[in-house]
Amino acid sequence: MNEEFDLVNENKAMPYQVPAGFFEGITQATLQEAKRREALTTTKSKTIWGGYSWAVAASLALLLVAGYYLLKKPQPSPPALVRTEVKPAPAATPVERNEPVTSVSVTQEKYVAVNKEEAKTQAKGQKQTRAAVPDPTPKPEKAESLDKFLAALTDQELAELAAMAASETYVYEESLLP
Amino acid sequence: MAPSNIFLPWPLAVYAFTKDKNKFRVAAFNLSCRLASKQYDVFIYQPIGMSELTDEQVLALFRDASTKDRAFTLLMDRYNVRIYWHIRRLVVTHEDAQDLLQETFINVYKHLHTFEGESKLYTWLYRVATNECLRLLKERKRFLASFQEIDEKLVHTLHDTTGPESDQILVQLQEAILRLPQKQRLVFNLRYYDDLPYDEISKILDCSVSTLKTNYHLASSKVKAFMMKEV
Repeated sequence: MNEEFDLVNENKAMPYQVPAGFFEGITQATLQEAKRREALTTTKSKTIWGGYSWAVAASLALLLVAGYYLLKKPQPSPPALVRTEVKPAPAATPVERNEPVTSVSVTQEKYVAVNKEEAKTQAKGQKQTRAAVPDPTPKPEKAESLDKFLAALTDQELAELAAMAASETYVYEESLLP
Repeated sequence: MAPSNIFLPWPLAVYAFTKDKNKFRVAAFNLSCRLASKQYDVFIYQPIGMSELTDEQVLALFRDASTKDRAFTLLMDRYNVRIYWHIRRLVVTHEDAQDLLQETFINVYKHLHTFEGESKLYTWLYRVATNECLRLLKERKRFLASFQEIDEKLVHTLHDTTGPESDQILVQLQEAILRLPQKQRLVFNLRYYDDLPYDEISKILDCSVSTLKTNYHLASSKVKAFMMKEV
């Protein structure tokens, strides 16, 4: 054990060996390597930019072609020689033989009107049933309102809320809710 | 053929009157270097001895494309020994130190134009070199389990590299340093071997001076304890 080891007065030499003439040659070798890498980077970047320019030109051309076909106005269709519209078949209306023709037409009208009303109510019913079906996609408004609600809370309130959510009583109360 | 003596000084004289003295000196020096590199026989401004140049002057030369290589050579010749030993103390083997020294100065060649002079140039060089060393050690950590394992390996390499003819106290001292935690090792090396002031070390290692002092104190105590036990 050496009790008198003194770091301050210790020899600061290193126990390592360095090959002779190492420091004379290293500077030029490093400079050459640095220049080689610089030249390599420049040519690489030129190649990359060259490639990019081709890619940009090709994509622009593609966009122009696609734009031309998409925005092109549709040609007016030639006049139809044969009428293709399909008329709805006339609805069968009960006609009483005893009544005059005029009254028949009135009842027919009434019947058609009733049918129309029924059709309207059916359509409404369909709309209502559609509205009653829950939308599977989440509505962003609700999320926004939750965000707003959370944003409006103070840190303390938020902490209380979190504590309440974590507590068992809250879970118990929630489970009792219908 | 020498250029005309009358032709040379007037742009410099105009520059001297319009700009400040320091810029004038740098401009004059740049011109003298260019003339020297073109091997003119006579020029009015004698070239300053290259070894007498300050780091700022070398930096000014580096920013000029025509004198960039000359400036780099000057810079590397000036600092390569110090930086080499700083690296060698951290990575132990000569091969690693050589690679890292080259990488350091290649980075310097690439990025020196971005150096804004907020610290001393050698501080910046030390910083680049230290980062290169840490990068290597980190890479090795991917293959080994931990930094402790790396340190053990470094100690083994130290004993393999240094033969029995080496001064055993110096070898033991290196072992003590290699057994320090990485941060303490860095601080100890920079302070003990390179004699850098704490504020410069803080710029190299991105650490406060008080932390560095604490680390150096701890490192010194550990090294002393190790040496008293081992030697």
